[in-house]
Amino acid sequence: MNVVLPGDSLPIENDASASISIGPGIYKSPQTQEIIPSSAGIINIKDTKQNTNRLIYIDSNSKRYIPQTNDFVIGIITGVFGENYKVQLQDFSQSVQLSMMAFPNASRKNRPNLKVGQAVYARVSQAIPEIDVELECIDATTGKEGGFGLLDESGYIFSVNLNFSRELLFNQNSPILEKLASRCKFEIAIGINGKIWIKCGDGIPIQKEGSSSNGNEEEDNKQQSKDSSKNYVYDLKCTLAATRYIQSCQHLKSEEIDAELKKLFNF
Amino acid sequence: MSATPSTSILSQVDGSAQLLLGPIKVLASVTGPIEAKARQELPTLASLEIIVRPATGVSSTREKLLEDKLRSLLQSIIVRHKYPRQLIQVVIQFLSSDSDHSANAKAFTSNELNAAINCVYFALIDANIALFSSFASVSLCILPSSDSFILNPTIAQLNESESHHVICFDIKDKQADKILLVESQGSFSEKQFYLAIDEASKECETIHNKYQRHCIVEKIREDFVWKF
Repeated sequence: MNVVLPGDSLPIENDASASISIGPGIYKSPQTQEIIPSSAGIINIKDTKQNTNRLIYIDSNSKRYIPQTNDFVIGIITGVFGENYKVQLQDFSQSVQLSMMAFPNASRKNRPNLKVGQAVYARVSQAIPEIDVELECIDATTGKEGGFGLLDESGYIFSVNLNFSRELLFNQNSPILEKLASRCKFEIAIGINGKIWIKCGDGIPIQKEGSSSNGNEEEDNKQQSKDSSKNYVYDLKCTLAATRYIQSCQHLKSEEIDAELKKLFNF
Repeated sequence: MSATPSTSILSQVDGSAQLLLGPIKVLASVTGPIEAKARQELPTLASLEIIVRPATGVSSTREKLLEDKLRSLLQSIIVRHKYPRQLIQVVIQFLSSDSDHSANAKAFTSNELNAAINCVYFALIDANIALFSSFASVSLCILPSSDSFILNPTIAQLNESESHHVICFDIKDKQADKILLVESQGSFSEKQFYLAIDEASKECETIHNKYQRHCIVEKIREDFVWKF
């Protein structure tokens, strides 16, 4: 593990032949064009195969999310203005905008129907610090939904540290979610702003508005709900256990994960 | 520094640290970058809100003075251009202190300021706020008619001393580089002052290499516990 602190010099030679791409945690002074580490963390230096480009970034933990282009995030809709939704990515952070046109098949006549308080999974399409950040709920390459859009209320949203959410989303070899999959069936959306939406089984039942029933139907429904209520309780237990499991994985060594999983799914 | 600091002890803020330096216990928290109020917002820079709270009683002019000193230090150390239009909130809460409100005015300009600076460093690192460099500070006093120093003086030693100083250096490549803040009180000669600065730069390097680096490496190891 190679740790750097602000003020240290970066462990790179002054090699003019390779161009350098800088990532998070590295700051380039606009006056001197010098690059310095600006946060404390694990330094990563990656060279491309032809040694033409070099990537440098510092991986560090934090709780406050700063939007970057192409990040996948979970946001809560807090308001509507004009043709935009106001979306909150984190408490007390500046809210970002989500255009009503940034949905698949959206047009002026066919607007998405989202309400204040609902959660969406979206991609950051523009993140310039000086101006408002913009999101979109559309896969830019195909123009289709691509997994973005409304996250319904049958799931559960909780927060984790930012470095952990990056680990879950980007590390293909991470055993954490694979091990969870051996215990229950789940659907997950990981926002790199430290928010995770999870739904085990069918999740929490959503009460449909205005679904009135009468006579025979009602009896049928009663029978049905008796059978399914057991499932709902089980799914709910699974969802909460999975939440606790993911949250405690933040502080566990990889060999302690199995024991934790066993302990939490003991019902 | 007598005790190792603990970081991430508050759950509702973005970064926090607690430090015990002799009789002074201080808790620092950092929240940000967050949405600034319209009157605080600066179009190209992050604005800083610094609040100092005393161990007992309500805050007074002494806390305002400390806030001012800390602001001048933090303004030059935080990469404020990285967070335009945002707000960074820093709260320093003293938990215990040897300075009695009435009796000892000396303690807060030396020991309390010194503890606050050293503690806020860890809180900023914990909040992952971009910094130009690391920094450390020392508090020392000069005894009458001598060139000898006492580092981290107690209240009794401060009262006996002729002058006391808080000197904060930025650390580049494990070496003390530039002076970020000097706060001196009492009478002293030029020679004494230069000696004090010399002494302080050595001590700042020790603090950084012995305590700060060690503590941060431990913290990062804990943050990425699943990797190791």
